[in-house]
Amino acid sequence: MRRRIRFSVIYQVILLLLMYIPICVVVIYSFNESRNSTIWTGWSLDWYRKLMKNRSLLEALKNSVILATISSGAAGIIGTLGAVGMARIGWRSKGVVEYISSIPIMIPEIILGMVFMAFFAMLNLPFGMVTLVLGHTTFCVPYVYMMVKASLVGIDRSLGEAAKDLGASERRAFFDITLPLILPAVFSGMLLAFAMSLDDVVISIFVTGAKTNTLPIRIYTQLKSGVTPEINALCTLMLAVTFLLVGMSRLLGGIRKKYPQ
Amino acid sequence: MAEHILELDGIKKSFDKTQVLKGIHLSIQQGEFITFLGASGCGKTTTLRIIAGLETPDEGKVFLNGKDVTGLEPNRRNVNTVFQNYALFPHMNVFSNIAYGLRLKRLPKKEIVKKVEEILELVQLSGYEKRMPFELSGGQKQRVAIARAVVNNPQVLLLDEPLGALDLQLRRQMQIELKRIQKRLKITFIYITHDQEEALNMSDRIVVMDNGQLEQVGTPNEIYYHPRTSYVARFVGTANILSGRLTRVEDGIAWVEVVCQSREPAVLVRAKLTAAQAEKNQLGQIKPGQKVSMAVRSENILLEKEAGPGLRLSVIEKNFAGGMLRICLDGGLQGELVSSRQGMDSAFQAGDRITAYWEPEHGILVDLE
Amino acid sequence: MGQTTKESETIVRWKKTKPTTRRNRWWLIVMPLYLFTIFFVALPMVYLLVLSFLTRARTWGVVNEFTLDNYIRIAKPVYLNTFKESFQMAVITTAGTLLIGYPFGYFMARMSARTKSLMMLLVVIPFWTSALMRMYGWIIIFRSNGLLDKLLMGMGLTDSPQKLLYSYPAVLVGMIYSLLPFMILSIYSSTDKMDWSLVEAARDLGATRGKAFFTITMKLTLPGILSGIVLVFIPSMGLFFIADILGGGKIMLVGNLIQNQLQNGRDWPFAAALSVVLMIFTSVMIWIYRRVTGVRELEGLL
Repeated sequence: MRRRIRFSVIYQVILLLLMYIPICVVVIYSFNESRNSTIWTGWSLDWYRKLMKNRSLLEALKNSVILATISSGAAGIIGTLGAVGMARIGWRSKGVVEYISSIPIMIPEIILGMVFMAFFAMLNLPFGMVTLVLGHTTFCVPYVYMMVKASLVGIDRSLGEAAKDLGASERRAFFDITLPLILPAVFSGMLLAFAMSLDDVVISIFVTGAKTNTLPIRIYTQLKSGVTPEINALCTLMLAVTFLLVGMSRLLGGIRKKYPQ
Repeated sequence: MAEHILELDGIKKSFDKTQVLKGIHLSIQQGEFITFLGASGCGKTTTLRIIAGLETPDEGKVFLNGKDVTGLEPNRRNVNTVFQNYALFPHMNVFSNIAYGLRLKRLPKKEIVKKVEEILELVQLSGYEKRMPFELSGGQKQRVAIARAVVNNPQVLLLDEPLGALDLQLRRQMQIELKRIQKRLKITFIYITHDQEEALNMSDRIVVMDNGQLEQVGTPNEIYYHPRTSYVARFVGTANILSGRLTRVEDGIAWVEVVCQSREPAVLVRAKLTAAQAEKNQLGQIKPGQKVSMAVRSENILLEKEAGPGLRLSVIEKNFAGGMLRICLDGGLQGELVSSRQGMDSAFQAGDRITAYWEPEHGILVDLE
Repeated sequence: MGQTTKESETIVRWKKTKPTTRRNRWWLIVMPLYLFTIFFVALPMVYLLVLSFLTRARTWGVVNEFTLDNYIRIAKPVYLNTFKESFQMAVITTAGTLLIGYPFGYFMARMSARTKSLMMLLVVIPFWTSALMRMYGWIIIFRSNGLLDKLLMGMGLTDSPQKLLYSYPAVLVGMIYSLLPFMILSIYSSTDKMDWSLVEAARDLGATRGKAFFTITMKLTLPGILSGIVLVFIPSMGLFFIADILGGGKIMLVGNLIQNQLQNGRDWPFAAALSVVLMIFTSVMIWIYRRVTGVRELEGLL
């Protein structure tokens, strides 16, 4: 028994190391003095300074954040309302719509990118922020929807009934009872959607316009042509944000666990 | 009409083609403690939900204080429910849970605080205002659930198996407490349980339900000593049911011919008619020769080693139950009979041939409808 | 006894009371989801299908002429080969993630609650980190004279820089690396739910440890395995940017083909036809998954 446990620990440690090495490499080289990431010449914060002056990179970062905020926000509204409503209606179309709405995260992203590119071109929409937001919202909705749906299932039906029994109208019962209980799920769904949007390359490449760059698109084109360690610095900053987001989602998860059903 | 706080008039309800309630008629008096007793799936919970307004009946009407409330939403009825699983709002503390109904009524803040304090004292949870539901034990949650419903001073309080999740000791304690609260507040309690002991202990009247119908409505005494149907007899205080042929009625005693083993001769046993049954007999609705069922409670079955007037049976097994010795007897065609009148030192052993008999007043004719 | 009857009654009651018939206006709030789904998911999909049957205009755009040419073209050896290679890549990637991820997810589920949540965090962080950043890390490692080269030379295994980047193995590593968390989380979530007493029962009945694992544990974690396979296989068919970055254009997957047709070839109808085929392929996989496991949602997706 003991030997098996030891093997499992070694295995997990090695795998985790392998998982983190590429990330660490990027972080470490962001502090490298040299422009060339094959040689290490010494510590420096130069690339961070340069990054702060790089207008186009910062512009791309701004675009990405705006895009992720709007998309996850819109998905938060559509997904939450949808999940709450779907739980209460008995329409036949329910299952089909639910299935279709989840397609964006089921199929390879490239198809979605292609679909939107063609569709938006047909509609003659100007490619840019609008198309980006539309595209991103479609794959953000399922994350929120599924999270909220799962948390609704966990809520005891009799809670709503108890509220009504105590004199609350249907609406009042929703705002007093259901909403506070699903709120952590709404936020973690939105957080996940935010992270996915912030990270998306595939769909963005297809639906963005010539003038609008998002950060992943910038990084992608640079990776194909030639990278400067500014990208390392940027990635490191993004990683810090990721840690923040994961921390927040953990916190929300903790809140959810506080009300065991 | 006015003294009836609640009236159910021909309530019918079906879910997906299965009829759960098949026409319930019932009147409940102000201040009564009434218990719906029945096995799971008998329709008692649905009845309760219809009274609460959480369910609408397909047919029939619900009158609350003489007013038709059948189509009224639950929040517009002065009826409150204590839910089976407590249904405390997990994100609100004890105070907010209890104050919820009062706040909806827009009572002044001072009054709310005062009422909540009073009710917490009544359920012996003073000082627990700030606790969250997940910090409470099962019994405490139960008290909060009761307080939350009672604080609104409902005309009728509905309790859906409120003690179901508690352990036996706590259950006994809460039974007493509930009864005390009911007496203090003089609110009509409608209580649901599948535990016959609970029903017999607490109720003013018991409604025994089976298969969406009322089997019998009566005081615990009536239900226990004069079950009208074999279902009631079996469900409340486990009775043995014998079937046989009525031979004659004499001085209010019915003589019933019972066959135990197919090759043995029939035995005559006695059952006392109730007043209602005697009346029927006067009208000639009970005829000699008709098939009848009779119930005898296991604690009333006496055993004797010697042959005599009574059923000759053999002992199958002895076992202990609730500090009593139960002896199962092989009743042949009648199935098994159970006698629990024996002391712990009973000399009977498995395989013994014995005679089982009972006093005529302990035999009850059932299913005479 | 009392407990079970009570529970069953509750279940019965819930089932029965599901349809709320009383006046409700809840339909209003599902409207955003309905409309959004119809206009921005269903309609575009339909358009994709239509587009795949249209003819490409000589210079730019599409002519509304029905044709089956796009699908016939897919059958050409060049394109069929791309499909074959993609499929191969996806199979190897899936097998790789399964082999590496299964033990990890399995061990994870057997840990104490505290370590479990720490491990969960450690697995989730790379998953939340930008995929491009992680690819970039691999570039630094694989590039000629990069970290791996130096390590290999330092150990004396090679004496000159190897061409590690822009190769099939590099793409494979990138693929497995990117998709591994999906597999681990799927396996973990189904192993975590498993009733270990069944394994103990099997051992008690005389099964060896290995036998118990293959007959009980594997069977019970099958939903997780299948869901992991679906979650890895489907994206691996379309992750063109990994092949692009780590393969340097040498490795052509269906995803790259679609991207090329769209952006360089400007042959939208053909790209649409390719997408439709890919989509049918993934739908079939999801359908099989649902048939086999009877589960609607993919396990461990969230």
